[in-house]
Amino acid sequence: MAVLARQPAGARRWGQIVRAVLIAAVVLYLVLPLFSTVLFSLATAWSKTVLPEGYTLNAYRESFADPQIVRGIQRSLTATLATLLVGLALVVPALLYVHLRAPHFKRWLEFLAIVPWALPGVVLALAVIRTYISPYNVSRPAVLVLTYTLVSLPFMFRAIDAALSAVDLRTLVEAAQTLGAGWGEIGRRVILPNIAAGMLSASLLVAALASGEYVIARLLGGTGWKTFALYQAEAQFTDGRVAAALAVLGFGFTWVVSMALIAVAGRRGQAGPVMNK
Amino acid sequence: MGARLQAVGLEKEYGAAMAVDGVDLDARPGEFVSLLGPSGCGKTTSLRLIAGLERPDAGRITIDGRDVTDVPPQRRGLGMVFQQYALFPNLNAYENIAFALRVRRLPKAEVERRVAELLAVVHLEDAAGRYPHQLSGGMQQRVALARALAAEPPLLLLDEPLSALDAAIRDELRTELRRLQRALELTVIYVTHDQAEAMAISDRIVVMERGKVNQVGSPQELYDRPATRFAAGFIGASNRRLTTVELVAGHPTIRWGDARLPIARNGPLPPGSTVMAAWRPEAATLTDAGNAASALHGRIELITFLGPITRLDVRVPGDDEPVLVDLVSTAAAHLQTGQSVAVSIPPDAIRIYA
Repeated sequence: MAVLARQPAGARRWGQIVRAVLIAAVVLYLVLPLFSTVLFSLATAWSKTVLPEGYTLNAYRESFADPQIVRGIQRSLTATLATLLVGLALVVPALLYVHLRAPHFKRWLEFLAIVPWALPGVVLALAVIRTYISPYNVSRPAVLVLTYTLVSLPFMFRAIDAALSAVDLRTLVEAAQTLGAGWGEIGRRVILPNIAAGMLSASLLVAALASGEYVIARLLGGTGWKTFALYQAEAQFTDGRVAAALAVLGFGFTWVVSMALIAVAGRRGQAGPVMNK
Repeated sequence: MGARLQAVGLEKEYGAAMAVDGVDLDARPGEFVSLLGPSGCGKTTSLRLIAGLERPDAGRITIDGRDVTDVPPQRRGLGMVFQQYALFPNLNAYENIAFALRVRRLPKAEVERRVAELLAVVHLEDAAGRYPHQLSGGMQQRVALARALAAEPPLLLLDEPLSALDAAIRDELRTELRRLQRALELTVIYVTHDQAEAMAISDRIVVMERGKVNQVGSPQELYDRPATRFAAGFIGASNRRLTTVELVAGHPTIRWGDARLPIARNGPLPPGSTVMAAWRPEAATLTDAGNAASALHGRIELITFLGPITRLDVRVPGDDEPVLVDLVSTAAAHLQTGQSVAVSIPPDAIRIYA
């Protein structure tokens, strides 16, 4: 503060202007393409004018009227939901075990969770195809879900691990035991409420990742089980406005998920540190 | 009425280390027993074995004659208070206290009555709706205490419950805990590394060292007659030296610096044997320098006023460190640093450890 106070008023104003310009440039850079896409998806014609000549919701109507796109959306949602369920079913018990009984295994879990993330999607998808689909003809959607689960492990792991680390779960469980609670009661009254926020943030992160993923969906789902992202890519070659509308829808979904995530994280932040260490 | 707790031959090994090595405990109904010792002495592990949070490798635990060694913690019916409170962060004070009652599916009215009663007992009627992070450390520990008492356990286990609190709150809670224990006639097993705390609160103290019971006794017994070198060093202040026993005109004496102090003849003390001698600072008196041949002659190095008593550090020739002498402050008012004094210690106040 003292340093700022000594600066002449002119220099301070310059600093403010530079800051404002920089922020405006960044916002423009990020927002302009998005804004243009929204405008394009709503435009009747937009070739000779600065702004579209007219506006219509036709591209959105067409998207929702196309049964293939609707099926793509359904598939993406199914894959997302299944990924969440499998991921939670894998990560929550593993992390509970590590936190309650075997803390020394945590390093290994961390390492294992990061491995799929270190592999490029193409490599991972081809490896999965060679291992499961080519020799055993395992159902493609199932393999897709399992691959998404693998890729989303680091997110799942981090978010739930953070929730578990924020409370001294082991002592809480012991306290509940001495108070007469069996494992069912402990799960319901102690563990779940204390990791619910972590599970929710993990789920939102994974949902944002799985719902719009392209590379793995293209290689694993292929033409037989096209997801929303694949139709979105295809639409670019047939109708630019529909492609723009689908991009806006995809962005909208991710935005809603992100806002929900921020709201959840904010609420958890307010609850504050709960154990005085 | 509290329960009787008996533990016989408890053993627990962690890796290659014996955390608890043949511990016997016997707490009578309504008794306040402290497990006292430095960190790593096995006191907390012993408590966890009693609670059922750890399984002993050997030994049996009975509560009112019922063998609970293989009973899981949730069915032992004990109350436990943890060092770090361990309140459920997702529940407010009221719900934390109600936890054990809800688990037992008590009727709603009964839960309400009992929680209100406990909130009053721990003076937290106004904090019922607050969550743990909205409570101070002292308040959190009060909630933890009320929570542990909710199901009316006959035996309450406390694992260093006051060590995370400020000194003033610690004293206040300690007094309250003792009052509550007396009123409810609870049997309490209290783990602490603070000897002053153990002395102030306990009916009986179990001194532990390296997984074993070192000495068991009332605070007064332990203070007046510590049975081992370890207990002598751990409980209260004392002047301790490694020294040798010598016979002077047929009477046993010990060497202290360049001086010799007569000691009481209790037990075989072969001349020349190396022993540890210990005496309490308040056992000594100042005598006239002229007629005290068997006293320690020295110079006052430091005078520390401690309120009712004043502590002198007296430097004795030939001794490595000053001896401590506690006097009633009124009797020490005239003393000055640098003054020569003679310190007389009654022979039977000097305890000798082989």
